[in-house]
Amino acid sequence: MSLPDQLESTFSPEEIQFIVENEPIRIFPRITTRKTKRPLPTGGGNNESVRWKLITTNDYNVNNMVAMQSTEVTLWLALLLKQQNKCSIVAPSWLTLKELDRSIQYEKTHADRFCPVPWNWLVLAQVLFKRAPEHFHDPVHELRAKVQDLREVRQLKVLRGLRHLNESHLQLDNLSLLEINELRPFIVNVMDKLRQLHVAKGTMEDEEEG
Amino acid sequence: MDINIDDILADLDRDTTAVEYSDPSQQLPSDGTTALMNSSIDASRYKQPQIDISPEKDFKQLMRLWRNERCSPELLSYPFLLMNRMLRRVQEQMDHIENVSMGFLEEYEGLESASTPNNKLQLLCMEAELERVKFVIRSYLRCRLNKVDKYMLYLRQLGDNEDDPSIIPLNELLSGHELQYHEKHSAILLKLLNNSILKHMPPELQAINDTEGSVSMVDEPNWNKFVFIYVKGFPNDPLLEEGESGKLCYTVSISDLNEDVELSVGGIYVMPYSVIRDLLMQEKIELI
Repeated sequence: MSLPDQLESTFSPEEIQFIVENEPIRIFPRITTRKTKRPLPTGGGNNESVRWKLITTNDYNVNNMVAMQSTEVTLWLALLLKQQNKCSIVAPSWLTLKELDRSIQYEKTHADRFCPVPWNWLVLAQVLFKRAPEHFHDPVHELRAKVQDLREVRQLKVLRGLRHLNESHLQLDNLSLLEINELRPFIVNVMDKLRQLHVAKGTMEDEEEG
Repeated sequence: MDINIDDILADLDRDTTAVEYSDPSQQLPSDGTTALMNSSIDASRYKQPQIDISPEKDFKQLMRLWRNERCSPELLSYPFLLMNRMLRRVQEQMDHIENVSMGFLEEYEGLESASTPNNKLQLLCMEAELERVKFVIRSYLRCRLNKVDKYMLYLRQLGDNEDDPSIIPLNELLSGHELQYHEKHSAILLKLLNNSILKHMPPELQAINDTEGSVSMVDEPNWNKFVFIYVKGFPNDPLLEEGESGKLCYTVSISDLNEDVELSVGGIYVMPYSVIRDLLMQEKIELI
């Protein structure tokens, strides 16, 4: 087939990362791309060809980078710039020890719901730990441990929630994309089968009555 | 005494954003049409809500369509205008990169140049971006071709009763190339089956799209497949109602269970596809 079997009804983790990489993130550039108002003494005409032209995002921010003034770009661009040592990435506000502690507390006190972390928290944390570990204010190994804690608490809740699989619907607010993706094949198949059984039972009863 | 001035402030806000709005779009050289449109619009027409097309919005839309297509059981209709724009932009960007890299070579061999490292970085980013766009488009089209394969007989059936107003005609559902693929591929498959097996069968068993027999041969999409949805919701939507918890929500009913479900805005649900199909078509929800 034109699409591999394992991708037919779900996404691969790499594709999830791809989706997350299209989100904006804050960076401190180490280069200046903003054009000075005064034409440079040497070829001012060259400047035109140095303009960034992007077709998926607004290129206004990228064309107006000033070193050490924070700006927002998409994550994949930030990672690319980071690789070239051209920027430092600002960790999002929820990725600090204090905020993570608060999230874990929330998870422990509310047994019936998930805490409102961003939908891409797991992927974003993983990417930033791997690619930009030196840009965190808090020690990375502690952050890693906290993220792991949070993940385990949530996984436990998911396992408990799986008891409620039924044939009509399910509500899973604040579950992140990666968590959804790993559960998808299981939940969808089980609920499909439950529904089939339910519908078949309904038609059997109708026939008996008639 | 408190005077609520939120609406006055909102009005002021709108004015300033309208001015700022025209600014970045004019700085997007990649989309010639918007820049042209903006410059030709005079002050009186400026007030009217304009359909603004920008590359970033188009890409967001493409990502959404890609994700919907991957998750939904049925073949969704092909976005002709959007794909035309995206493909044109990819072509233009390829030309642009070519031009820039040529200029870069000239400059490099020529005099000193302070901007060369910068130039390299820019090229690197543009190429990386182009690859990303191409990946999404490729994955999207492959996913659609997979469904065209799977629902070959069903699509043929759709093509046969085109008079029925409730269904979308095939040439709006599929792009020109997909239509070609569908016809040729089914012809080839039919020939293979006919030559190898079907010609040895009794005539009444030779049809490959028999729906009368014990098992229907036409594979329809599984309309009740469960999908994960994210309820996006539009502000000021007449369909929105206030639910029990005071949050805005859509109400849908699952007909064969006689159940009403409230889909509150911002929530994630697992629902049968047939129930939420209309909301998906109106782009009020997304599949995830």
